[in-house]
Amino acid sequence: MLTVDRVSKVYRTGAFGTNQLTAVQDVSFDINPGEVVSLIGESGSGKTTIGKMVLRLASITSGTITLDGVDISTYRGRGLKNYYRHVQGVFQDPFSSFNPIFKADRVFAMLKGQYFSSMGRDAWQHKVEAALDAVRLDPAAVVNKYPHQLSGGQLQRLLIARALLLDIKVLVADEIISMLDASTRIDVLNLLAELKADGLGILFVTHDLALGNYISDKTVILQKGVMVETGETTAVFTDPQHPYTQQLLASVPRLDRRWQK
Amino acid sequence: MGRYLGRKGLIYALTLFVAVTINWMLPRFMPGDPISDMVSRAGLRDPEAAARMQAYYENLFGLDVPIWQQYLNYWGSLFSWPPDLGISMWSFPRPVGDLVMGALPYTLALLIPAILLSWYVGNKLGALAARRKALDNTVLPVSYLLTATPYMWLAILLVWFGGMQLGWFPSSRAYSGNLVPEFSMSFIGSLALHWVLPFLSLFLVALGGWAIGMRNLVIYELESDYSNYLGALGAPPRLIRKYAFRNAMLPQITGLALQLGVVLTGNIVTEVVFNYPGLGLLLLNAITSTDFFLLQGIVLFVVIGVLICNFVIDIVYVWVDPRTRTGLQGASA
Amino acid sequence: MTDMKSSPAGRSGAAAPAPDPASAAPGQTATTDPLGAAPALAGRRRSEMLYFALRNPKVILGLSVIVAFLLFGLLGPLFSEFGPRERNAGPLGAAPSSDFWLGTTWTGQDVFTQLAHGTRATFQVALMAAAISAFIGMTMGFVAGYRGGRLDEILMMITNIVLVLPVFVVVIVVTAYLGISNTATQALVIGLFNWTWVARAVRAQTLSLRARDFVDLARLSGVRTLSIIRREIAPNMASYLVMTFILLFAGAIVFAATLDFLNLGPRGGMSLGLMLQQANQQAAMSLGLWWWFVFPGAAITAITGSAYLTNVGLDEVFNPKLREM
Ligand SMILES: Nc1ncnc2c1ncn2[C@@H]1O[C@H](COP(=O)(O)OP(=O)(O)OP(=O)(O)O)[C@@H](O)[C@H]1O
Ligand SMILES: [Mg+2]
Repeated sequence: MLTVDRVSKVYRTGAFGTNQLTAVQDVSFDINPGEVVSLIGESGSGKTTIGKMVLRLASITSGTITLDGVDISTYRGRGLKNYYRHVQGVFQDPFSSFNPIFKADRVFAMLKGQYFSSMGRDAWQHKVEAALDAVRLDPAAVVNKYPHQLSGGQLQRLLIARALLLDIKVLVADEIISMLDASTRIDVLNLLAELKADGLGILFVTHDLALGNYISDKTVILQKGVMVETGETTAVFTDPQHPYTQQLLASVPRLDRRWQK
Repeated sequence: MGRYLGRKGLIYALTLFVAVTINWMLPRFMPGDPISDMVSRAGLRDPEAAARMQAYYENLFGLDVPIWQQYLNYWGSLFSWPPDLGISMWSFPRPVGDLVMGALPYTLALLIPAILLSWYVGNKLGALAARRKALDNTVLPVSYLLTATPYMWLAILLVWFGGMQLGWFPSSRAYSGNLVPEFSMSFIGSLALHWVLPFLSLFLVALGGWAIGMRNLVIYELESDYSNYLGALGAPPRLIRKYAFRNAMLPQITGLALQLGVVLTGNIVTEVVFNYPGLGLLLLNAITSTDFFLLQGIVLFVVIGVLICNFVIDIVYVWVDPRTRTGLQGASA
Repeated sequence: MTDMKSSPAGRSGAAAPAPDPASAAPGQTATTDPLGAAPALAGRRRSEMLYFALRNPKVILGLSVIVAFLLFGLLGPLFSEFGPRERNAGPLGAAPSSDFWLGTTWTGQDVFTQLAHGTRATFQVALMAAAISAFIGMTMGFVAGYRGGRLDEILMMITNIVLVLPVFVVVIVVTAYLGISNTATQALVIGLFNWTWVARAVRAQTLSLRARDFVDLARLSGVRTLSIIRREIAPNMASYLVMTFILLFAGAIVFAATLDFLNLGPRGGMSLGLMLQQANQQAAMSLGLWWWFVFPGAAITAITGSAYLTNVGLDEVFNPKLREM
């Protein structure tokens, strides 16, 4: 469905782009319906950048990303808007995802204005409530509130609910779990599992190996923008080929063992 | 550091290019015919003289060659030495360069002390006001009043009050009419007396701005996280104030470059009010007598002067701000 | 952003709050990064901010004076039976009296009439010029900051060039050649040259707002670039934009007055700067006709001073940190 093919990203900084920084280099993978692909790598390895390229928020320096065979970089205007009907994202930092001077549920209103302008008020109300229900949010607790009046977990779930309002095929979930406490975390993971069962493809960005192992079908391991290992999650986790992956797996603290000198 | 200055240098070069180009374009592409305009305004009785003048100016403008060549010639005449800025109309037949050079010392004598002293005193006052509430309550309103005062109005008030009502200082020209420029006590004394009021008018208005700026910056720095941090570490208040003052200095140096144009404007109107024979008065004369050569000569001169000052300030900035020296992104252009 | 801190268009512009015709000082009152105010604004309703703003004594005083002058400019001319340039309207060079409230000029023009007409013209020019500068500066700033990249470099290069150009002198040549025929032309010329610090400041703010995820989220919601700038970014710096406009207004008043004082203003009308020009040229100072030049100068000072005062007050409202002091 979504195919990332030898994609690279070079950021240009400094006066007239004199400094270059290769954030992502020759990364390839694909996401099929009902499949969770986890993108694992240390901080700065280019995970968010890949997510942004999939979401057309960052330009692709080389390589192609296609959705159902169509190169996504060709979308403009209406086409792009239609693309976003099918591909949505939830970002790493929920606090920065909301405009601080407006109420949090404005993110819904924005979608209504752009995609459901003809829908009646009541129908829309129902749709939003269903989405909030899906992420286990009580509408009364979140509607008509400003972002700073809500918790990180509530905001994060609002963003997921927002994505659910559209008929999405692919969801880019950029470290959406890291802000949550253990019990909400399980709730959200279960929610993702349900969505996956309904046929949603998920790009699950994380630096937490255990989470990646828990949820994903396929795993991509990134190191400094380069894809060092990729394959079925079980294969990658039981029989890592690349020394970096081996080292990563060896350095995970285990729940069942205590730290010893 | 080299990179920072290089970038600035590029901007200055482009600025010069733009200014020269505007200067070159205006008389050529404006509606109407500035040359005949100028000649007819010169009011020569003798038609033959007028024709000669017309021919002279057309030749000077170099209108007989292709337009791109006119443009290159224009640059060429600027870079010859001494720069050929044409002949003034208003003070025919003196070269524009001479007139500008004659006026320059008077302008510099006003501007340089006014800029430097107002900057120094203003910063001192502002830093003091940031510390003492009582002082702040007077310094701040007075500073705002001064900064809101248009230069020409303060100049007019000074002429009226200091010159006419009190009669303490002469309020017109740069020296008494009965003296000729020479190196004598009486002449220098006369120069000094005539200098006081125009200087004051420039100094006072600029002073207010610097004081407000410094006060706000120091307060801002004192409130900043690192000041609080230093305080929490038990650093003496004096040390914290010293750091705050040093940090506040940097924007004030940049501000100096930004304010150049403002003080320059103030200088023009001040000279007009005091009839002070500097570039500003010359500029007014060029305007009223529609002497375009003189006008353009002055403008080019001023632009180049401002660019040089900017460059000097940049060098001072690099010298003061360690970030630009080590190549960190301190001050980008 | 270390850049912003040391750049003149950032807070450092605070250094230079002169009522500068040439390159107006930016946030002279904005002692802090206005963005710092955003979290404080967060969640507070816009009307609430307005409520606080309108209760700040400095804002009240500043705005009242400005509005008073505006009304004077609008209604004043109706109370006068003379034209602003009408000679021998009264005795020559008469001091203020019950007949001629603000006295008369050397040629017997009524100073009150001139002041009323002059104030009106001054407001016209300053508001138009400020609107033009704000439009250019904000457009440049928003586009450069939002788009980034090559376009940003080019726009900022242009901005920096105009910034070092001694604008006032350039405007003098331009007006000397073209001749200014009416207030609209004058406003246009002032507006065209007086936007640089706005562009730089708005760009710096846009740059930092643009990096926030809510902008990306708006893009994911199919919102167009222009709407994102208008509805997501600009509201976050609304207070700053208001203060910018007020400063531009004050700057334009002095700029126009200075042009008029050099007799480069519109011909035929009357303005505060022109009153000063005529007073100076006809030696009102040596004749002792103080009412001729004191009133117009005081009017300019009062209007610009009140604009600054309003901004200081607004800054206190929007940056509560300062309010506590
Ligand atoms: N807009 C940008 N301009 C320049 N460089 C950038 C930009 N965004 C990211 N980078 C650089 O690209 C590299 C990859 O960044 P990215 O945000 O994709 O990392 P990440 O894997 O998501 O890290 P984290 O786990 O901390 O979120 C980093 O070195 C970062 O500094
Ligand atoms: Mg990331």
